[in-house]
Amino acid sequence: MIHENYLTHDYSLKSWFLTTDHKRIAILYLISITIAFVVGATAAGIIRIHLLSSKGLLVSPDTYNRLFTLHGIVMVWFFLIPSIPNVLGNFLVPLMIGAKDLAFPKLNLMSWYFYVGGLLFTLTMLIIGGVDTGWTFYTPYSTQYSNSYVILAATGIFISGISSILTGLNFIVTIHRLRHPKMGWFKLPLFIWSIYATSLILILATPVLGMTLLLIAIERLTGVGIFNPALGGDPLLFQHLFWFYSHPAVYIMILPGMGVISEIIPCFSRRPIFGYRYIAFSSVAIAMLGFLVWGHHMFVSGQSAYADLMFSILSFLVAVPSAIKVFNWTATLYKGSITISTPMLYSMAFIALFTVGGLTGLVLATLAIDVHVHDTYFVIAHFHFIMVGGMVSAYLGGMHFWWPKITGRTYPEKWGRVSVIMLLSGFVITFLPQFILGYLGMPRRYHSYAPNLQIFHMISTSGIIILGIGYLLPLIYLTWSFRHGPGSVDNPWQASGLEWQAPTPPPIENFITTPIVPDQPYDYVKDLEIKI
Amino acid sequence: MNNVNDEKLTDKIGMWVFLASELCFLLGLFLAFLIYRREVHNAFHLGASHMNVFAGTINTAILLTSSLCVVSADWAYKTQKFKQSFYLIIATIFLGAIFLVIKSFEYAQHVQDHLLPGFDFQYVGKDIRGIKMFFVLYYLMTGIHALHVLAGLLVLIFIALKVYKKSYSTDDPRGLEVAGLYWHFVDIVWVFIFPLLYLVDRL
Repeated sequence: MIHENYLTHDYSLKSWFLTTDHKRIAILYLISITIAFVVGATAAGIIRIHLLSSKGLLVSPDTYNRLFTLHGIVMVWFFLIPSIPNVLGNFLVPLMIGAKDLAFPKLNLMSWYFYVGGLLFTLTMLIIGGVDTGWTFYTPYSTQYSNSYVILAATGIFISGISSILTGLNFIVTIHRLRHPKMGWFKLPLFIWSIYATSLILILATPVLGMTLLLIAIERLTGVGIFNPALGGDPLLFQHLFWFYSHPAVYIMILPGMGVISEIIPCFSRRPIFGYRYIAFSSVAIAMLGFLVWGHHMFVSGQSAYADLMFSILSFLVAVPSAIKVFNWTATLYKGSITISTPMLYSMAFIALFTVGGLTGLVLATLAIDVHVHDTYFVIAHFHFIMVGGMVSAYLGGMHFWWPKITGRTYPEKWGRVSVIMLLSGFVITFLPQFILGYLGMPRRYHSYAPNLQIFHMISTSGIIILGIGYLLPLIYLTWSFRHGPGSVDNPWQASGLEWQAPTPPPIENFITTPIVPDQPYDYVKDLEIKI
Repeated sequence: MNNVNDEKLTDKIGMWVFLASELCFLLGLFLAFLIYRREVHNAFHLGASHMNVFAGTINTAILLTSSLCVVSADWAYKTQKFKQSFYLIIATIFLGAIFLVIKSFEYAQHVQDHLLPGFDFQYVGKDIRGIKMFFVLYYLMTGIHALHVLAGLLVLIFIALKVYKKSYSTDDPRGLEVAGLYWHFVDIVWVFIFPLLYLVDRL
C-alpha cells in the first residue's frame, strides 16, 4: 500500500487540469509530448518507406513536402524542445534544490496550456492540409508562393513559443531564489546547471523566433515585401532572423540531455563527476557561444566570405565546451565501479552517438566541405545523431533513472536493456548510411533520387523497424509498470541529490523532513555497490 | 526548505527576466529597420518626412510623465500615502490612454494619406518600395508598442483597484513595483522608437 503522494492526493479530472503542482504538470507534459512524438515519428516512418524506391513509393511529391515539414515542426517544437525541460525539469528542479514548487506555479500551468494550445492548433493545421515549406520556412517561398497553411503553422508555433519563454522564466527565477539555504551555486546538481543554461537560451532566443514568425505571417497576409526581393525585401534577412533563434534552439534541445547524463554517470560509476566546475561553466559557455554561430547554416547562401570565415571559426569554438563534457564523463567512468543498468546503457549510447554527431558538426563547419554537403543527407545524419542518438537516448535514460521517483514503481530492468540495444542498433542502421548518402550527393527533402543510391536508402529504412521497437518497448513496459510494476524503495540507485531524499513518489509538498545538503554534490563512495 | 524571505525578490526578478525576453522580441524589428535604413536611405528619409513629429514629441512627454507618475505612486504607497498613490496610478492610466488616442489620430492621418501598405498604399515617386518598407516597419514597431501600452493599461487598472483596497504590504508592494517596471520598459522602448522613426531622418 503506497503512502499518500502527489498522484494519489486527488483523482478528479479538475485536480489534474487545474493543478499547480510541478510534478503533475510534468506528467501532463509527458503525455502531451509523447503524443507529439508519435505523430512526428509516424511521418518519419512514411518518409522512410516512401524512399525505399528511387522513384518514391508511397506519396506524391507535394504530400512528401508536407510530410517532412510536419516531421520537422512537430519533432523540433513539440517534442525535442519541451521534452527534458518540461518533463524532467518540471518534476526535478524544485526537488533537486530542496524547494516546494517552482517560483510561479500558476505560470507553470499556463505554460502547459500554451503548449497544448499550440499543439492542437498545429495538429489541426496539419490535418486540414499541412504546410510544405520545410520546418525552416525559407522566404520568399513561404511568404509568396507556397500554397499551404503557412500562417496557421506560424501561429501554432508562436503559441508554443510562449510556453517555452514562460518555462525558461520560471526555471531561472526558481534556481536563483528558491534554493535550500545551504545549496550554493557550486553544490547544485549539474542537471540544474544545464536547465539554467537552457532557460537562458529559452528566454532570449525564442522571442526572436516569435518576431520572425510574425513577420512572415504579416508578409503573407498583406503582400508587403519584407523578405521578398521582388518587392524590395531581402530573403537573407529572414534566414538571419530565423537561424539566430534556431541555432540556439538546438542547444535548448541538447543541453538538458547533457545534464541528465551528468547525473547518471556518477551514480553508476560510484564516483564524483570529474571536473564539476568545468562542466558547469561549459553549459553556460555553450549557451552563450551558441548565439554566435547561426551563420553556419548559411555558408552557401550568398553571405560574405568574411562572415563565412567568422562563423566557421566560432562553430569550431562552440564544439570545445561540448568536448570538455565528453572528456569529463569518460574520465568519471575511469576506475569507477560500473553498473550496467538501463540508464547507464542509455548514457553510454548518448556519449557514443553524440560524439559522432558532434564530430560531424565540425566536418560541416569546415567551409570547403560544407559547400559540397550543405543541404544533403550528411546534414540530416549529423543532426539526427545528436538529436535522436543523443537527446532521445538522454531523455529515455533520464526517464528510466527517475522513473521510480516519479511513479514509485520499478520498471523491468531486462526489458530496459533490450530496449537500449534495439535503439542503438536500429539507430545506427538507419542513420549511418545517411552520411554516405550525403557524401554521395543525395540532397535533402527530395522525394525521389538517383537509382544508384537506392541500396543506402534501403539499409536506412530497414533500421526503422528495430528503432521503432526500441521506442515502443519502453512505451509499453513503462506504462505497464505504472500500474503493475513492483513498488520501489525511496532511493533504489543509492544516488546522491536531494530529490532522492524525498519519499518515492513525493508528497505534494515534496519533502517530509528537511533535506540535508551534502558538502559536495555527487558524494559517491567507490566501494558501495548498488544492487539492481 | 526554501527560505520564505528569499521569495521576496522572485516577482521582481521574474519581471526583469520577462523584460529581457521582450527586448529580444523587439530586436528583430529594430535590426530589420536599421538594415533597410542603410539599404534605402533616401526612401527612409522620405518616409520619415511623413511622420508627425509634433504628435510624437507630445507622446514622448506623455509617456515620460506617466513613468514619473507610476514610480511616484510606488513611493507614495511605501510611505503610506494611499490616496495619493491611487490618484497617481489613475494619472498614469489616463496619460497612457491619451498616448493611444494621439497614436490613433496619427494612424488615421496616415490612412487618409493612403499610406497603409497591404491595404491602401498610393505613392508617386521612384522610392516607392523603400517607403513601403519604412511604413511596414513603422506600423509594426509602433503597433506592437501600442499593444503593449494597452496591455499595460489593463494591468494598471487591476493594480489601481488593489491599491485602492490597500491589498499590498507597505514595505513590499510587489504587484505595484512589478507593474511599474513593465511600464518603465514600455516607456524606454518608445524613447528608442521615437528618435529612430521620427527624428534621425529629418536631419
